[in-house]
Amino acid sequence: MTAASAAYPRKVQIAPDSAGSPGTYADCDLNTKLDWDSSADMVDTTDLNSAGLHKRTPVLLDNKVTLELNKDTSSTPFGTLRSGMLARTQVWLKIYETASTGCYFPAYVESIKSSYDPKDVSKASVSLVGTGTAPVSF
Amino acid sequence: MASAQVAYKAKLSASGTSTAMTAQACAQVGVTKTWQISNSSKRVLDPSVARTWKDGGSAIAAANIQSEDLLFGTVTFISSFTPGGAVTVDANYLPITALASVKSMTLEQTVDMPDATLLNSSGYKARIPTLMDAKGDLQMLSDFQDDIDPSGTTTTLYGLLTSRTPLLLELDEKGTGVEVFRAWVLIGDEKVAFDPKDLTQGSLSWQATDRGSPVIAAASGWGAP
Repeated sequence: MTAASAAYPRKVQIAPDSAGSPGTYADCDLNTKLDWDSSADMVDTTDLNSAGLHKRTPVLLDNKVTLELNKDTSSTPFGTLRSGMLARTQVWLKIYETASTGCYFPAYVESIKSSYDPKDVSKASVSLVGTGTAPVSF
Repeated sequence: MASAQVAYKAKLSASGTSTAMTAQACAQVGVTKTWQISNSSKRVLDPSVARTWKDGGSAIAAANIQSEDLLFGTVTFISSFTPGGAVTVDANYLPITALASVKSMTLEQTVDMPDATLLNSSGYKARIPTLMDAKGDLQMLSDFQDDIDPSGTTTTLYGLLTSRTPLLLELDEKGTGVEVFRAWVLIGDEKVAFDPKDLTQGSLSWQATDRGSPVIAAASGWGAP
C-alpha cells in the first residue's frame, strides 16, 4: 500500500478554453488550499424479497473543486478564472496528484467569493463545477 | 510572479449626486468601434437620464449604436458606422467618493448552473451557465447616518435602505486606480451595535441589481476606471 504523502508539493494549473480544448496552462500560484469532490449519485434500488439490506445503483458522476487563494488580480490563472466566469465559458483544471501524474478536466466557475480585511491579505474562494466531460488522466 | 495583495490598500467608493454634463469629450479605444469618456472622473453614467452621443456636434442615431457601458462610460458603434468628427456625449454622470469607516468587506460573484444532463450522455452531470449575480457585505465603524456625499445632496446609507434607492459601489482591490469592480446595488440589511466599551459598529449587506428598462445598465463589471 502506498504511504501517506505530504500535500504541500501538489499543484493545480488553470488554462482558458480554446475551441473545446485546453489553452496554455499556468500554475495556480497563491493557491492555499484545494478541495476536490468527485461524486456519484446513488439511487436506492432496494427491492422486495431481498436480504434486508439497502441496494444502490450509481448513476451520474460529478466533479466539484474549491480553490482557496491569496488574491492577486494580475495573476494569469486568476484572470482566467474570472474571465471564464464572466463569459460563462469553461476553463480547464489540471490537478497534479504526484509530481508528474494526475488528471485534467473542464469546469465552469460557479462563484468567486473575495474577502478584504485590513489585518490580512485579500483572499478569494473559487468554486468550480463539472461540465459533463469526464476527467482525463495523464 | 504573482504576489498576495495586502487588503488594507483596498478602497471602497460610492456614487454621489447625479450631475449634468454636456459635450464631454470621448476618445477611441485602440482601433475598435468603442469610444470612452476621456475624463475618468465622469465615466459612471446615470442610467435614469438619457444620453446623447454626438459626432462632430450632431446627435448619433440610435440605430448606429450597438451598445453602451454605463459603468465605464463607453459607447460601441455598429460595424458600418465610423464617426467623422469628435465624439462627445451629453449625459448625467455620478461622481465617485471614497466611503469612510469601512473595516472589512466581502464580495461574492456567482453564476447559476442549472442541470443540463441528457440521456445518451457521458454519465457526467452537464450544466449550462445562466444568470449572473453579485452580493456582499461591509463592516463599518458607522451607524449609517453619515453623509456619504458631502459635496452633493445629503445622502446616508440608512436613507438609501429606507428609500429603496440603488447605489453604485466601486471596489479598487489594490488601491492603485488601475482596475475596479463596479456594481449597482440595493442595500438589504443594516445592523448597528452600540457597546459602551467599544466603537459604534455597523454591518450592511447588499445585492446587485440590473437597472431595468427602458434604460438597461449592466448590474456589475470590472474595468479600468
